[in-house]
Amino acid sequence: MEYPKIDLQELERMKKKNFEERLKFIELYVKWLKEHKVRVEKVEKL
Amino acid sequence: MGELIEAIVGNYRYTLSRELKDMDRLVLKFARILNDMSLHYAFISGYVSILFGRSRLSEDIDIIVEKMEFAEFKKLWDALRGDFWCIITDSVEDAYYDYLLSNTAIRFALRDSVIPNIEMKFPKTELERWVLENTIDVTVGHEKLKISDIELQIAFKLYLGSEKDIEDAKHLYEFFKEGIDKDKLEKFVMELHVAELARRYL
Repeated sequence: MEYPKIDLQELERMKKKNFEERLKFIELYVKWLKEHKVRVEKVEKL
Repeated sequence: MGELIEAIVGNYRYTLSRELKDMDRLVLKFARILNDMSLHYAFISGYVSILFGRSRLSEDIDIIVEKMEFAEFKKLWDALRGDFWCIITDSVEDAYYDYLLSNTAIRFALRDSVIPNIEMKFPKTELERWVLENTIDVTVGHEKLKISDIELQIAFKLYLGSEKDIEDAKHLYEFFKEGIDKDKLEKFVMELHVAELARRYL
């Protein structure tokens, strides 16, 4: 059986890109949450 | 429709509407017992993000509970044993002396399960004692629970540093953006030496 050549540098770049994409997704997801599921109100200082 | 989850951070009240999951019901059951006994505690780490809408799974829920004498712990143990079992040991003496007093956490799960479970420990550092003195009250429907300070939680998640932890920090930062005390966050970030991570990811 032939095994694939593994390019660790390429994998590292992909891993970093996936992580950055997930962080971007979190930003979009929380923005959506706050538009649809969250009420944010200013209150008097306790 | 879902349940309303409410907390005040800084000068802002946040009310999130979402369906409760098994993990939330486990936490609320545990918190009710601690509240009934008027114990100081704080849910910390990943569950704080999950409570406020972060969409990810977790096997355990971390909690710091005030250090107490054996007799008090025995009362807590007996109260918990209605719905929960201790995964680590059946012996209340072992749980207290061999684990909690030796700075090792014990785990409680609902009687018919192992996961998710609640990982309970006594505070062992000044930072953990500070957490207990500076909790945030959260209302979930008609129930109440206490969680860790948000600014510390964000900085500490950056300090832990795995991708999952940084994502939790990012979620909390985006969620509580209006109410976060930026000076307090910066102080924790500097003390934990995570300024570069904060600059890059928050």
